[in-house]
Amino acid sequence: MTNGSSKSFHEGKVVEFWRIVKDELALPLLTDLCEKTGLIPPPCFTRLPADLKLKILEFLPSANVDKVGRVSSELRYLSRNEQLWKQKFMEEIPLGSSLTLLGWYFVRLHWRLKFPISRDIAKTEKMRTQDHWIFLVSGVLPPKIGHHRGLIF
Amino acid sequence: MKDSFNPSIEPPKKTVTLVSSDGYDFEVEEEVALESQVIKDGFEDKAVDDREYLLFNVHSDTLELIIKYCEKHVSSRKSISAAAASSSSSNGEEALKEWDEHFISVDTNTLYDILMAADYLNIKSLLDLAIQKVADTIHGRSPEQIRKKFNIENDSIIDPWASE
Repeated sequence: MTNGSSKSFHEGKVVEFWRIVKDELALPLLTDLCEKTGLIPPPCFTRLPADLKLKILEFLPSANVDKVGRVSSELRYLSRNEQLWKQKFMEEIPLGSSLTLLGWYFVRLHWRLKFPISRDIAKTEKMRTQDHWIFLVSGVLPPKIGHHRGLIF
Repeated sequence: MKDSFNPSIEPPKKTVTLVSSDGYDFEVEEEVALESQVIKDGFEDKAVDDREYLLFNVHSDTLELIIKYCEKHVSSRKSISAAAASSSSSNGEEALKEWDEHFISVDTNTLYDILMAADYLNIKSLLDLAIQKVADTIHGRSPEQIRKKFNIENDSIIDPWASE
């Protein structure tokens, strides 16, 4: 448990660093260079900063969020944002608003598994259950580290 | 685009200058510029004769659209409240919604430019409108279709959910 939370602390730092380098340095530089040299800039969606991508996910129903999560590693990480799922839960299950946080974790565990996402996801329910326990321990799950851990388990 | 609102007595308009990233000046009415939360926040502290804003992240093409949107919303708000005051029936909000729908039906590049600019200028209603449009595009598509639509490379080395 202790190991898990210290790991999550470092992961948080790494993710923050990654976000700053990508959104505030690499992407604006790339866009400017493309403009100067007349090259085709990267696709629009990729160019959006992470917080705007997350906002787009907020506007989607939860079944779609899972699909978007399988598009690329960045979107997978974003689609697992705790706050996002909390908001989806509150929106889509009205009873949720009166539940305690602990109750929320357990209900969501149950609910996300039952959610009609897609057949191939249903096959990996076992893996997902483990994933939720990692969630409980670490809170966040960056793409790479996340699935390596999933494999170790 | 005709506006039903036609004010008879108006005080002289105060204006603000917005400068786009490519160096074009746009003179807009104060209340139009104040639709942007970012401009609104520091507005009172700025001297009246120094109300010029350099918008480094907004290209003139996008800025033109943004100003069009803000002007429309300011004038619609006025006509809606005027209609409410005279208790005459009005479908102003419906018409504005339709206008918004038409406004945001643009090509993908323009849509993302509007999205980024609305975020930068913090114009909440426009940001929501643009995000909803992108979300509508994603809605109901499979991961493969989304990749194709947005030209996103699948960089996942192993997809743990692909197969057991």
